[in-house]
Amino acid sequence: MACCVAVLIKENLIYLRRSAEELKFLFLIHASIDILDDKVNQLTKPTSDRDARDFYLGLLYPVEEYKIYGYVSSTRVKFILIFEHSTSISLKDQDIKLLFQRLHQAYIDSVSNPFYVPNTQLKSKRFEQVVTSLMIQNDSTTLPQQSSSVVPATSVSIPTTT
Amino acid sequence: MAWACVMPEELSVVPRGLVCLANLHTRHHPVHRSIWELLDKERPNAPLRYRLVDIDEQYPHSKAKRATYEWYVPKGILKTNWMHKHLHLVPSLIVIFFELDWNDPLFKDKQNDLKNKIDMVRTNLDGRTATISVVLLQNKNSFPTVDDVYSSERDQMANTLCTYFDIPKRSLCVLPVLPQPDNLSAWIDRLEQTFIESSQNYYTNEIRRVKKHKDTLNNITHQLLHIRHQFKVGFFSELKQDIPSAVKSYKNAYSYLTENARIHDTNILEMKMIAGFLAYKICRISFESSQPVEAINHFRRHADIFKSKTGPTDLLFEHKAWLSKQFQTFGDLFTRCPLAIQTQHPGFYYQEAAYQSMARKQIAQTCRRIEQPDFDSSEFLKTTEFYGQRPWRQHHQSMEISDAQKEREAIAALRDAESRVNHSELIISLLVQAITHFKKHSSNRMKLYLMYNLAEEYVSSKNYDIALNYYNHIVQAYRTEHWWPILEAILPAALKCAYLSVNLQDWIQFSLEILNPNINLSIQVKTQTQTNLENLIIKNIIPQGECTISSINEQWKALPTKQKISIDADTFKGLLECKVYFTHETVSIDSEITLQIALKNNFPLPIEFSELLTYFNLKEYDGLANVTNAEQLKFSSGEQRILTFNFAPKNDHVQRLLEITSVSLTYGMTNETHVDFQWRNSLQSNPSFQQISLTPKWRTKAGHILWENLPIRRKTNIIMRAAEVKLTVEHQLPVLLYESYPMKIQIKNCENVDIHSATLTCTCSTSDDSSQTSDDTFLSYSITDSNTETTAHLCSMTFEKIKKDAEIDQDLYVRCNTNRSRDITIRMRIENYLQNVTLVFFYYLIIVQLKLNEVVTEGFCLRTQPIAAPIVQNLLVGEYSLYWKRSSHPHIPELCTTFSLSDFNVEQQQVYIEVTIPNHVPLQEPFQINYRIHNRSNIVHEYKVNLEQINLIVAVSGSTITSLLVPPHSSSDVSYTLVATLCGFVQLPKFKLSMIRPQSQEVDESIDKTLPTHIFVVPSSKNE
Repeated sequence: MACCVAVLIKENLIYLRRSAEELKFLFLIHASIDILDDKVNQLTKPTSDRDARDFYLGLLYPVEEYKIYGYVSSTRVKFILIFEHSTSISLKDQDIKLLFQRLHQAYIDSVSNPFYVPNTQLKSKRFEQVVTSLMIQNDSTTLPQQSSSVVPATSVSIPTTT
Repeated sequence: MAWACVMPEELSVVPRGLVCLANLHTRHHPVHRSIWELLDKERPNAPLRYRLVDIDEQYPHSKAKRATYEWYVPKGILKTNWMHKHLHLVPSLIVIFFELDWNDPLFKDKQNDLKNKIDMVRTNLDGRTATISVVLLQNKNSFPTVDDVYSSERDQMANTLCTYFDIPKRSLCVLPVLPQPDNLSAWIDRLEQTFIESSQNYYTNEIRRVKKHKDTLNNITHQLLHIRHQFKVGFFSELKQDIPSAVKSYKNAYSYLTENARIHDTNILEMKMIAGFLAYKICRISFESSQPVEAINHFRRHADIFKSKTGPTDLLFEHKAWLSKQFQTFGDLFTRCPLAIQTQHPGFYYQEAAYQSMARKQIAQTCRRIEQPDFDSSEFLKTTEFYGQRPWRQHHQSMEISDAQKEREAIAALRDAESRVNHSELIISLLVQAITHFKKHSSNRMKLYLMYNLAEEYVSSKNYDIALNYYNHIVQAYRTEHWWPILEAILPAALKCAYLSVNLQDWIQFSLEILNPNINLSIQVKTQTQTNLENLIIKNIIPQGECTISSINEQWKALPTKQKISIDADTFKGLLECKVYFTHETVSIDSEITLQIALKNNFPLPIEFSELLTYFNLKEYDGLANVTNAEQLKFSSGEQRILTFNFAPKNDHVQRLLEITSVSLTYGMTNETHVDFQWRNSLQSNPSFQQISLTPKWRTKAGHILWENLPIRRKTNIIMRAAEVKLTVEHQLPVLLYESYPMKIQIKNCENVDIHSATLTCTCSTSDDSSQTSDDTFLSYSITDSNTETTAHLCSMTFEKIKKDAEIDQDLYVRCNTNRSRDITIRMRIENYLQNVTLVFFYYLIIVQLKLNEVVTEGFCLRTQPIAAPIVQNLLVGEYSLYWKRSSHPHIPELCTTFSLSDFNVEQQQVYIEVTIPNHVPLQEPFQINYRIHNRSNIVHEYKVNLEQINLIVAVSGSTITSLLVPPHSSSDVSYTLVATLCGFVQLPKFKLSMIRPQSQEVDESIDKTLPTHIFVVPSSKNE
């Protein structure tokens, strides 16, 4: 369902997967940094009632064919999911938030690998698996609540080559 | 095909009720002219539009109104001339101005004249129901005063006139403005109010008339009429300034069109155009009434509904053109609305409009141009009666196409016309508009995307130079953000563009960008790029690519040789890197400066540079760190090399900072066209908070220096050499108050020569900032009498000559009057060399001393003289003076330190008890204890004595309580016999003395302290 998944640190792309080798996705992701930055800045403004929910930034900006959603971790790692306009109509904010949370968890698992050099390209089989599941899964209602149930509990360290 | 993207001008005009003014001679008559000017004045929210007409103006004919629509089949939705007609031609009110005074001598004649004019207008209206108003321009002097405004006579005349003219009474107005108007604008305002009323009445009637048809319509054949009528009602409501009703009618029409109307290939253009008109009207009104969300939502829905209604495939470009126009007009409307935000502003709509136009262009490229058509294409392109209809089959409403041959020819004609459209111009203007908005809403990255589109568009319209500007900008921006994947896609196009515009600088720049290792292009592309670069620079062969054009090649050949292309190498991090490193942060003038320049090459193919030049802030050093030997500058791919330079600092540069300003590496012969890589900013050392990777770099080859680990230092300080003089200080802490504390300063000359006129300066500064004065410290080179202080906290002396290897001892004496720590700075200035020794002392006060930390006690016994009074207070004892000096420095005079002894109170005691008791007693053997009580007062005392048994360890024999009388200045004895029952130091029974007479006095309690409380009991000798 998602046709593009991207992870950014500041404005650097550390992970990208797209359903097609289209340049347009890159431009869309790059352009959405403008909005993400703006929204993140608003997050950092002190407000009394803030909870984890606010990490989900919602629909970023209007494009005709796609819908672009953003999510930011507490260390300001940005996650972007792009859906085709037609598939995204059935999606609710709640569902997309769950997708982001799974992605976030998978990211945390991958960067916890001691062989991963921070701020470099993310290369992890397990992360790829989660992304694949995000991109092919069709029925969002069957999403497992815990991401750990998707990924096998026994972990295998995959040294990254940088 | 242009109709698809036509938005008629009439649609964007704000409808206002039309009022025709007749018989107003503005050219010759100044009063007439001022009336016209006041009415015609530009005003915001003016309700009416005025038009000057001749009295014999012909108004559009009114068609015979249909009584029933039962057998009527509509030919289309909206005629192309309808809006124009009602905006500019069909009046809601015709005002005839006429000069006529009530008391005019020719009143009758003029009245008839006016009657003729009214009749003429009425005839020309031809059944249109516009109201006719008459404004009589009168002499203001003949105008009635306030008293007789409603004079019945004039009333009567007016009534007669109205009847005669056959107009209602409220249509007759009088304007007393002749010969010169007073306060004309007030009159005009009142006049306009009556105009508005009449005009709105007219439109209300029109609306009522149109609405009346609704009941007679059916939903099968009259679908178009439903839409047409709702549109007309909306338009009339707007003319009437009834905006809420207008938007309601437009929305009705829109929903009827989208929900009920049959849309098929033959009428799709008409439907889409009308839907576009309605959406435009609805959005425009929403924006104007400050409801942008409403407008955006409606437009979104509009776009979603019609996006899929593409129409005939052969005319797909028409659909794209229409969509583009929809987005564009919405963007235009949105631009006027001030409530735009970063995620919702007109830029997005212009962007989409541009994309739709780009899609249209792509489709249009498939359209075949027909140079000599075998049909008359003008027939297929002429204007139509109804909006959105096909010229060759106007009024055709059925789904079937009757004449297939004609249809084919028509489509071919349309496609031919489309192929002649200059799409690029349109796309570029839309993109530029979008960019403006993205810029305004600080979305620079989105702007880049559009700039990329723009650059591509300029390339396709062969504006290579402009395109190149954009390419330069976006390449730089994406490089700064390290978005290599986008660069990968852009660079080949940019390079080609640079080739086509014969721009050497940019061509080299883009070639280098492509060669950057971060760019993940295929090795063939990279090799080809470097070969091309090498060919151009070294061999002077014009670049070869997959698409070389001979005319362009000619231009390349014509490029001037001997160009110097400066490249900012800082931006090509990764391709070619340079690090500079002064091995020492400071260099003394008598040693050599060592500079290392490290170069790292990442060109995919081996490369040979011709020279390396280093530039310094001090021009004298330029040229000292250059390499001109090309052999040293030959690099294979991935090779790094450290070049080391040694040179001496110049003598007059002491205390100067030597800094590398730039490093330049030249590719190509300097007397030919060559590329000059220049490093400036990247020579700075990295910021200190740079992230240090925790991961070990185990992939480093043994013996290989990792580029990242090479240090950077581009500045070095040139300093004087150090002085070869040894300065030492000897002294023994602590320093005591008031003493002349001796310090020994030793100076040794280790220079190769004698030292002349050396100055030794000692200063004292308190380390404690809070102290207010430092005047309590005295420094001197000799022992001074402590009473005659002349020196202060600074002293200095000069040595005429210190011989080579000679040693000089100099004493310094420090005297302090308060105890806190002080810093003493001893400084020696020898010619140019400076040597500092800073000493910090901590001062302690020690009362008596022989050696350090030794304590001596001295005891004295004092006895007072007999005193007269019972109590003498504060008896002075005296002072204790100590004369002392340091045993290490016997020549320093003795110092006297005096301490005051504390005071006493002397008191006479009334009662005194003298106790006689053995030192120790044997166990269980009786012993005597005797208390002798002295009365030292002048009166007789009577005491009560009680030996209180505390425990049974010491038993008392006999009575323990007794009374005792003691005469003045005499004594009495009380004796007790006791037996101890336990060995050791045991407690005695407690002796208590209390006064019976005189009653007023009490025995001093301090007397208890003089009594023994314990006795030592030894084992009895009998027990042995």
